Amino acid sequence: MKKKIKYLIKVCLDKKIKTKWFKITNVLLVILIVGIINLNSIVKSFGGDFDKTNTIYVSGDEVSYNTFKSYLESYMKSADSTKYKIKYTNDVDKVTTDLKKKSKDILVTITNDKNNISSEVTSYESVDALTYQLIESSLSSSKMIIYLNSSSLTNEEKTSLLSPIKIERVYLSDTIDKYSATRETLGAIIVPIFIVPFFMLIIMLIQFIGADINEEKTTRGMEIIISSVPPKAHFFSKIIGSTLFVLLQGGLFILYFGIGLIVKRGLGGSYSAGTTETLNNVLEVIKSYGVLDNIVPAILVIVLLFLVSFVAYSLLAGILASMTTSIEDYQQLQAPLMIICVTGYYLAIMASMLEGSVFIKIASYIPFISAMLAPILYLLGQATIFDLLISLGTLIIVVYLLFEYGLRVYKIGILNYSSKDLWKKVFKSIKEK
Amino acid sequence: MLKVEHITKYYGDFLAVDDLSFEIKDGEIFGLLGVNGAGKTTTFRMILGLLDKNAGTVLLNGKPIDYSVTDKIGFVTEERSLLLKMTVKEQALFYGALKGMDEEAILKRLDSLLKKFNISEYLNRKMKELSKGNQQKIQFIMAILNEPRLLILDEPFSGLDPINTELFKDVIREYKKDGCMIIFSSHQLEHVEQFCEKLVILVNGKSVLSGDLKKIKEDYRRKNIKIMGDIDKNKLAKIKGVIKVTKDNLEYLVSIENADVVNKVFKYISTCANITKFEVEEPSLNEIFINVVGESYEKKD
Repeated sequence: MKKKIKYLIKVCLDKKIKTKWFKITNVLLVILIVGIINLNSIVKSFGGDFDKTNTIYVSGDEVSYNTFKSYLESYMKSADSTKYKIKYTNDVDKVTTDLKKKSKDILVTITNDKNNISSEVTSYESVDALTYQLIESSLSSSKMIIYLNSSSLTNEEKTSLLSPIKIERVYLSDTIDKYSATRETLGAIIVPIFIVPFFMLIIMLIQFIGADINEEKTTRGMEIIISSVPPKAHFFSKIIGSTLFVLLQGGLFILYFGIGLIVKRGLGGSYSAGTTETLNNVLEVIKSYGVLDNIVPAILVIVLLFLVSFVAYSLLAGILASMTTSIEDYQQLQAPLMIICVTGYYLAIMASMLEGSVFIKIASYIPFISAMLAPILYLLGQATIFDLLISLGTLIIVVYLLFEYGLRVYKIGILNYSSKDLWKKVFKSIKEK
Repeated sequence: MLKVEHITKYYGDFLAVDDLSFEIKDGEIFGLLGVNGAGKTTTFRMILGLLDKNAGTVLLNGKPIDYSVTDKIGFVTEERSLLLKMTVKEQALFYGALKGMDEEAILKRLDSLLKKFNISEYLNRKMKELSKGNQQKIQFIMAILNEPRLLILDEPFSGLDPINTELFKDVIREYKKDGCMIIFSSHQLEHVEQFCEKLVILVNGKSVLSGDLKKIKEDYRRKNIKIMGDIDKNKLAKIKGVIKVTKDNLEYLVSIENADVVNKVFKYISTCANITKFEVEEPSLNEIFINVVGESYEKKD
């Protein structure tokens, strides 16, 4: 019988993998994932107006020009803006005439009277918000430094005046710390990395199991199969085969993500401005929660939570598929499963925003959504490894019950071709040993 | 030997099979007959162990049927049980492996069976691309791929033309000759009559007629007389013991209550002119079936 079960698992996997659609889908996936990771480079490689370097012409005396240029260059560098070069002009009329030819250039005229420094910013169209903000800040800073230089203040006084105010932030609450801003980033990073692929794989799993069982049932092939292997073995093979498939597909997702990063590096791109800093901050936050102290057992529990959740979804999908008489019926019946999954997904997103939510914490113990919520809460420092173990324990109990009672439904369901008195049959089969 | 003893099956409050018993010896073909919904499929499923019985036992060679013996059972379902996305070869490898065969043995056997049924060219064709008749051939091949000792055939000739029906019959006879036990179910009772030595007729899950076909016919007292000639249909119908007289082209078919009526009919026919045929024959299984099933429904009503 073991040989037959192994064979059924192999067939279940082969039916999904050894198809041209699996190959086509994965080729598309690798292209899309690598493409999304390198979207910035792709967009830039096609060029466009953003690619052109325009000029900010500055008119004014030498001191004003040099001071303004120095500040603007410094601010543009901080903002990673390379759209403009700065150039001095003494022919304002000519520049103004050129601007009228739908030019993207900007003219900044600085008037330095002894009593006041004023400026006029001229452009053909409105200037984008960032560039205007940089010009405005540079003008303000220039004004201040020019006045200071012309004052009778000592160098020490000038340095003291120009240095930023030192602010010491004090939090009275235990839950707010210096990383509170980074915590939101943490939520924004973890959800797409862990939850989105999990969500996608669960959806695939539900659909694959349903389609597989329905195909065998509606073609009556099920009767021949069940006359050769027990329903229990058949059910097991479907669950193991489909779970192995989603794990394989999950592994491929990670591989494609890695390829995307390698390509990005090969194209000379950094992992976006400030990524390293953000990642370091995220790591600091995780460290501050003490999460890294138990990271090995935590990873083990989280991996188990994911695996057992796949099995739980497989079991439920298999039981539902056995009850339906057509793929259309199954598609309707799988809607509640999808909603459960979506609920977990949204609660996971909300977890980083609604810190300490009792509702979300309780929800993290509920099977089917615990795999999405519990790891997030743990990484956010809102749950301990003990909470993870409670989630895993609850899930295992539900899987056991699903197997114990679901198998009875499955055994009756796979040979039932009528939807008449369906729920009556289901409840009756649960009672039967 | 297959021994079915007092099997009963309820679906909720509905009694699908009621205390059914029969036995089939090696090399016997057994007819399991009944109208739609009579309990035939439920009986097959109980024999195969697909459904739990509420009562009774099914023994194959003295042992209950479980998954240790199902490798030697073949089953042709009434509706096509083929996985339509698979090719013939894939299907054979799949069903063969589930019957415990290895790949080499499956392919060797498949090759010879495809040749036998003249469809070798369909080896790599998908099931959904095949005609209804060819699908039925493949379904039959799948059922005998494992050289079963018990073969369950539920409407095996469905969708077949007369030539292929004969081909199937020959193969079934070969299996019978080899000592295979065959349970045969069909609504085309002329096929059952050709094959089955023993049968059971089910009405609402209950056996209303069972036993040896020859004996059933003997016990069934009614006879038919076929007559050709110039006769008065009304006079013939008035003879005591004549149930009905029908005319089919030039031939009259006279249904009589029992063999004693033959002489009375013959006496009348002797007075008629141009008599070219007078033939007394056994009633057909079809006639017995209609009569028995009809009577059962009347009793129920």
